[in-house]
Amino acid sequence: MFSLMSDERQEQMNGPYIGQVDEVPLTNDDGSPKLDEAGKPIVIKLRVVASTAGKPPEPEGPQQ
Amino acid sequence: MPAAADGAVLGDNCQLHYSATLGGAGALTEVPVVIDDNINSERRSAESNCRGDSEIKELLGKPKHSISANLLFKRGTPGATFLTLQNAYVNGTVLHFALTSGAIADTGQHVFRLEGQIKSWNMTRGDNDTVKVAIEIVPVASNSYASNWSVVSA
Repeated sequence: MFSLMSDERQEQMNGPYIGQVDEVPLTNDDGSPKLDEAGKPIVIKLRVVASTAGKPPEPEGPQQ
Repeated sequence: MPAAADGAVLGDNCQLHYSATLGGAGALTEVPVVIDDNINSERRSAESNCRGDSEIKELLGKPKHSISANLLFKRGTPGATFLTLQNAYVNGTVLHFALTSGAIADTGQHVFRLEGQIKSWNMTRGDNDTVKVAIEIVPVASNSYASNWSVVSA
């Protein structure tokens, strides 16, 4: 088996990385916000624990 | 938010959500009734049989993920989600999907997220007023979102 993905294409697989947190609202079937018992829109936090993109890349900088 | 049951496996009340907004931060809408949810993941492989090897071994490549499930709708009045998903299949629209191990708003719930197209849409009328649609969702080459597992945090 060989991969058709070039190195450049692989670099475009840029997330989500492990540790990233997305804040995601929930909606009903008709597109209206889903509400909790207090009547507030529900927004959940999703923290990535495993990803095929792996960990965030090391920041590029001058070599010491 | 209540705490989720322990474990990352698909359990009672596991739910499938979708969003037309790609990237992972778009609003999620629950697909009303979904049964037989599956997360499928397999690494592609090739067999290796080199000179001197005493046995066949395999070279494992990157994983391929997919979601399969059976959607249940009411005959005649299937609702907006049915039309959205059917149109996405017909038009080849990429959607964001989230499959949870239980109720998505529970703290500690595990969520598998994947962006892709609905590859197959097999519709049958299984019983009385119920229409069953078996679907498979696969990542597509035009999209670079990495499939991932996430946990709902407080």
